[in-house]
Amino acid sequence: MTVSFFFQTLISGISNGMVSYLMIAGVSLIISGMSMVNFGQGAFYVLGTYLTYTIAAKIGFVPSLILVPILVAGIGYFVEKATRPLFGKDMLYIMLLTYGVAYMLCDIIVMFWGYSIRLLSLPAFLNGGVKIVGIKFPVYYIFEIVISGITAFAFWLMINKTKLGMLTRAIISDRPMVANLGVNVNQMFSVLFMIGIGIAGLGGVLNAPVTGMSPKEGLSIFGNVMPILCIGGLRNMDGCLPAALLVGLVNAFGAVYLPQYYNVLPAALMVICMFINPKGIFTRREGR
Amino acid sequence: MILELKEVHGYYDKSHILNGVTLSVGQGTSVCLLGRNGVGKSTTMKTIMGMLNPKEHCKTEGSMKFDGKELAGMKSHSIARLGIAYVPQGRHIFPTLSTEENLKVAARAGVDGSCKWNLETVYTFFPRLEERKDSKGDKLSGGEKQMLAVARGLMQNPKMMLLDEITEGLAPIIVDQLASMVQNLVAEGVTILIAEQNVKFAMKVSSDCYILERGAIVHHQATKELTAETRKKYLGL
Repeated sequence: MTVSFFFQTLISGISNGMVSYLMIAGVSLIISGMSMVNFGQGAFYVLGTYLTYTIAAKIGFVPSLILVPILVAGIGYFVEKATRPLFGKDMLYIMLLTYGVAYMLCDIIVMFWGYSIRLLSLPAFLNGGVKIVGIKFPVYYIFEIVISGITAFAFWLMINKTKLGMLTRAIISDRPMVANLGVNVNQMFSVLFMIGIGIAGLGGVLNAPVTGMSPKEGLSIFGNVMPILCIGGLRNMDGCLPAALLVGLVNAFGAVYLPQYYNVLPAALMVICMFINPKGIFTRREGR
Repeated sequence: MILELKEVHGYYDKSHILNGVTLSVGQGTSVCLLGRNGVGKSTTMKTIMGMLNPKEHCKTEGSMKFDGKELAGMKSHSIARLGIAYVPQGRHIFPTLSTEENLKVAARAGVDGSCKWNLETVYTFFPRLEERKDSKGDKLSGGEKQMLAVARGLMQNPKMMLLDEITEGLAPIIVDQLASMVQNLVAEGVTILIAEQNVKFAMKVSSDCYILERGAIVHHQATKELTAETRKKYLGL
């Protein structure tokens, strides 16, 4: 492996990991804040991709980066309202319900866009490569890393420095006490759900020019990123980024060195990590 | 009267815990709810805060008026927003938040828009909390947690505070500190309803007391006039 190929693989792994982070950060936020596993996250991600095919054709790719996540979050608002009667009941009901929602969303995507797999052409300024210290990298990979990095930083700021983030961390340990402080917990759940879904929608936008997706992938894609969630820790929002990067790199280098085992590598890594610490290898022992 | 309870009944599933509690608390006063363990003191507090949730098979009956508004049927967050700060038994400090975050998370202007209690005034009132402001909630001592629980209530700039067994499990010296703290709060004009088993503490901090037995008020008197006979009869002391 040449040095340039190594770095190209590295950047490809980081960019894949960062886009996966966008999907899993929302899942982690929803699990942590609402004690709800949203199996429908993959469908919202794919919905983001398909909305981008249509909206980017009308207003351009860059404005879609803002508009599509807002639209996806808006749809998430209604899904959260619909699932609310099951809050506080057995988590299995919520899992089945969100899986049902994913099925419906995927069929709605088929209704509007059909079965054909599409691919968005990249805007001119994101096409081609850029040379950094003599090594050529695809501009779009760098763009994905920058956008996802900014989102990850904003997410970190929200969780650690804002009142909403403090309340999210507080609600994990004591939901009734948060309500006793005068906080409308149901309203807060709506906001958290919309943020979680909106971030997945952003991941879908970034994915649109890279991978052609079938609408039905909304059902399977969640399974592909599940290892990230388990490696980072189900309720550890800070563990998502390092776990996503780790899995992205394992995928990228695995495809080069162990192509015959490529598909099994993330799951194998998840099993090993869960043996080391079932709460996630990036979960600090003393707390969150 | 800022708070008036009339014939309040509370149920946990089929268990009838409160059997017609009637009590009132005047503006700017400190009233104590005394009674042995398990007589319904904490349930009274939870009932006032709307925590007996029908979704969890709990039920409340009777009338509870705060500042003229009926509390029955309201949700906890709406009750808190009327100006009632609840300091629950067991403190319920958020363990993964720092001391300062525990305070910031509760910060809110009062119903009248006042922000008399903010980080600065709370730290002046509880200097120890400023020293521990970066420590996580679960790293604080019992006394510090209790101060934080009260301070968190104050950050809501409430009209009234419900203090549930705040002396529980604390060393006598800390209990004395809490007593002067409550006296200072009353002097600051905060109305207080306090549930206690510690009669000495109650006598120091409250002007009026109600004694609960099996979910009903069985005695009402000025706290300072509580005789040894009454205490022995109802509280076994």
